[in-house]
Amino acid sequence: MSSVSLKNIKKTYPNGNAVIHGVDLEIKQGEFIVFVGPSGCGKSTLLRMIAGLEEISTGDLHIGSQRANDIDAARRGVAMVFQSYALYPHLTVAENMGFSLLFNKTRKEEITARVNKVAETLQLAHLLERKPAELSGGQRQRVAIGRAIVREPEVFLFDEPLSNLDAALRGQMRTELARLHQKLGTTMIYVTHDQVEAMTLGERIVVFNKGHIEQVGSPLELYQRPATEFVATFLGMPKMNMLSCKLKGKEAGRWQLTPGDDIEIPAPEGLFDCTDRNAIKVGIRPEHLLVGAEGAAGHHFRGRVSLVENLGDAAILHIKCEGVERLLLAKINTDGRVPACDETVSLTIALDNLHLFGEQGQSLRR
Amino acid sequence: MHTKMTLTSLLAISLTVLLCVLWGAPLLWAISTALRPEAQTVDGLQWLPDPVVFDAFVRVLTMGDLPVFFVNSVVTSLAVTVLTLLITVLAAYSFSQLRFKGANLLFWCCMFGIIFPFEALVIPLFRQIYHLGLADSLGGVILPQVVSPMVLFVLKRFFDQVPKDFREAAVLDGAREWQILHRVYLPLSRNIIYAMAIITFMGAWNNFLWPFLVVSSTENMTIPIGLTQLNDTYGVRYAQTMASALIGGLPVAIMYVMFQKRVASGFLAATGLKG
Repeated sequence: MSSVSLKNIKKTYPNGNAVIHGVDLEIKQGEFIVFVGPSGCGKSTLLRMIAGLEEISTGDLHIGSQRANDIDAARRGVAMVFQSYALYPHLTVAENMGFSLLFNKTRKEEITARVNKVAETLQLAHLLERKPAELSGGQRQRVAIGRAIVREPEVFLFDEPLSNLDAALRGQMRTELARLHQKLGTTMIYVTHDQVEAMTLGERIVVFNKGHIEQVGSPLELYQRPATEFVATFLGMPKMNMLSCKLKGKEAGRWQLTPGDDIEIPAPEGLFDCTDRNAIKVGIRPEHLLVGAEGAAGHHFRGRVSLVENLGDAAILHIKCEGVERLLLAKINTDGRVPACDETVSLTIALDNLHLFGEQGQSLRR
Repeated sequence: MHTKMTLTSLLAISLTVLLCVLWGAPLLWAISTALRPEAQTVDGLQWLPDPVVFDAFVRVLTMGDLPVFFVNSVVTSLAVTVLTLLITVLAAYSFSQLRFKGANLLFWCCMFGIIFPFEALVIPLFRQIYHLGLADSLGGVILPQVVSPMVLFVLKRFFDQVPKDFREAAVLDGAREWQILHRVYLPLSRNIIYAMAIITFMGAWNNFLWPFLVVSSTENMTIPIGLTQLNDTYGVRYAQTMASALIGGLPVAIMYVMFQKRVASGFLAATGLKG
């Protein structure tokens, strides 16, 4: 297994379109790191540059101790699992898995032995003579992973491998991938646009946006202390409530945030002095917007429920507050009473759970 | 469950039957004539021969040059098919998958050839073949036919439709270009290649104009040319003429019947439609 180092990696296409704007990242040996971001953010392009399928315009890529920029894709010691699996329809499962070994003069007996060993690990032994068209989605997925494992690479690359599966199967395969990483211990770089996959699989997550890295950190770190407005709204389901605010004059030594005409919230301690006091955004996660908790510590105000989305174990309330342009989303347990539509409810925000962002979208917390 | 016969389906069926009759009638006439005694062939139309005799077939196969024409047709058609596919598969793969300067321009230059009717090129083509010393030879018949812009276009279009991931996976696995072509693209394009092979073979087998222009000696004639010679030789021997024509068309007919599914699926694959 190898570490991967990216220093000031940039990618500009011949037509002048710059898609990666200087990425610096150190991936530790044996780490499971996830690249996440919306479509078109550059995460797959970066993965393909690591694989050698796209040229690096400028910057340095090291796989292990070796500079890999000019090394052929086949000799970088990487194996990739594609979104479409890329299983050859005319070959059997065994032939697909052993395909890469044909090109480095591996003996037939050894190919068979390695394929059988990996097939046992992935519970594919009874499917070796089948063609991909005769397999289910999950089975094809495992064959694609098996083909990568047979190569015994230094680094595994996954390009949205679960996106073609249904929700139930995705959950199951996520668990299998996590177990596989525990078993193999190989460095894995995983690209996804699904934040649930990112949060559950990654030891660290890299959030991309428009060719830049927004933040790198552990799942909890990114969730609890997002460095930018983009990260705050990208991670979390439902999305973080984001309210435009103005800062009013200090009372008792604390600034007052005004997301609505009749709402004034004392700003948390440790707020930076920002240059534009009229361009602050306040973020509140739906699970931190407490409903009907008048006795709890924090700031209180009222709102009217306009819609209730029942998820089974939880419910999402869409709440209209006076003077606030957007509906607030609150996530509550269905163990207790669930307010009905048009019901007026009291809302409480613990000030420690507020996230504040400046005009450039940067976090204002110390 | 019975499907109601609509006016449209009735019209479609009637049209199909009419076309079958129009196509099938001359063929039946030819078969009937070939199976009649030569003297009876001028007695007028008779759909069912009585008696049925095979004299005409025996005579054309044992006397005259039909076997020579047959062998020449087989050799030239096979050669044209193999060479055409070899050249166009390599060219189509290069245009589709390789990146090199001027690729687009070169491709459209090749496609430009579709615009010109073959008849407009016969004179300069004949001069070239003559100066190469290939006039009146099987090589002269074969060479101009191995260039097929249409087959190139179809194959390139098919290769373009192969998912990019297949190629990239093979590249990551360490395959070289010829290995990617051999192990990935050729197996995937088997049906379309069969279809193009059959069409090319049929076209070469039935080609009259070019062999007629370039060949003058009997030993180099192919079946379409040879049949006209037979006609002159036999005068008005309709039974033998029909027998020669049937023997000449038989291999292609058998081939089409045997491979018609592959031809159809190959065409569907080329168009991207689901069968």
